[in-house]
Amino acid sequence: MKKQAQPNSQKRYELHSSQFINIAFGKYTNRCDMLLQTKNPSLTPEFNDFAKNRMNWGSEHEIDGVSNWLIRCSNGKYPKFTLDDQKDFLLEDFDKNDETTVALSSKPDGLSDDEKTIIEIKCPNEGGKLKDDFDKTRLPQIFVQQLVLKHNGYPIEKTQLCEWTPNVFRVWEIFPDEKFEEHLLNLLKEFSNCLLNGGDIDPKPKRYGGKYETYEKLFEVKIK
Amino acid sequence: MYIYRGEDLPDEDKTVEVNVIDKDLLKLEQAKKKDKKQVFETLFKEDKINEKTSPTQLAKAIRTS
Repeated sequence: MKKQAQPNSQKRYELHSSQFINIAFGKYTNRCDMLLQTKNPSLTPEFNDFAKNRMNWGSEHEIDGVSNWLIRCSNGKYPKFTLDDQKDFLLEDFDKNDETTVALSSKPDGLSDDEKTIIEIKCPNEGGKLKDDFDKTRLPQIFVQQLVLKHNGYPIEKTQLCEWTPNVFRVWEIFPDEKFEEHLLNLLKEFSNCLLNGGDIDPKPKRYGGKYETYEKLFEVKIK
Repeated sequence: MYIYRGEDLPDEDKTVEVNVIDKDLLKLEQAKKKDKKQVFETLFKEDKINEKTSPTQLAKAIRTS
């Protein structure tokens, strides 16, 4: 999350999609702490070695996920906004008052050449075993990513979430889910409203009661 | 009691330095950053990049930094 000074001295908060699992659901950091850390980034704890190792592994091997995507999913078309050309997409004025504005931001790992498919690469668990099922904790990031890119004029139809380990490459397709998006946006609005106007926030809202029906496994291959 | 047997770890370390030995991928590796898209798409169209291509070598070839 970044807080940036605006030319007209309006305060600006930027909420990044990778944090939406906490901002909306308080999953790993509760939303009260997320509010405090967004207002005062110096309160954000340093990553521990475990988290740093996982992030470093992910950064180092993102290119392996991209190369597998190129071979198996690209239809021979090189994607946009990938690797060194990644871009931070913004949805400005998601919420605002006279003094402060809140933006949403998202930096996908690529966008297919026809601009219809977001590519998101995950290299989890330092190359260890993948979870058997789809990891639903990724959904807040994915759905807001779709929302932000659509807002930027891209005709997004789905996300291809690619999971890479040295032994396995697996791709999930996630299609928009209006009900879950509405639920998620309500929680984000609640958070941004507290950011703008103060007040209490539920630190960890109840789990989403609806069904998740808009994702499917496209394929899984063993890597030799 | 849970006894850890190392099953969460990768079977082997495949992250060692890889040299691009495929001559077609060498073209891609040697292409300037702005030309990599075109070189990749040409190689794919000519079926010189396909499901038999080593993802590790391709990763090396598309790296720009």
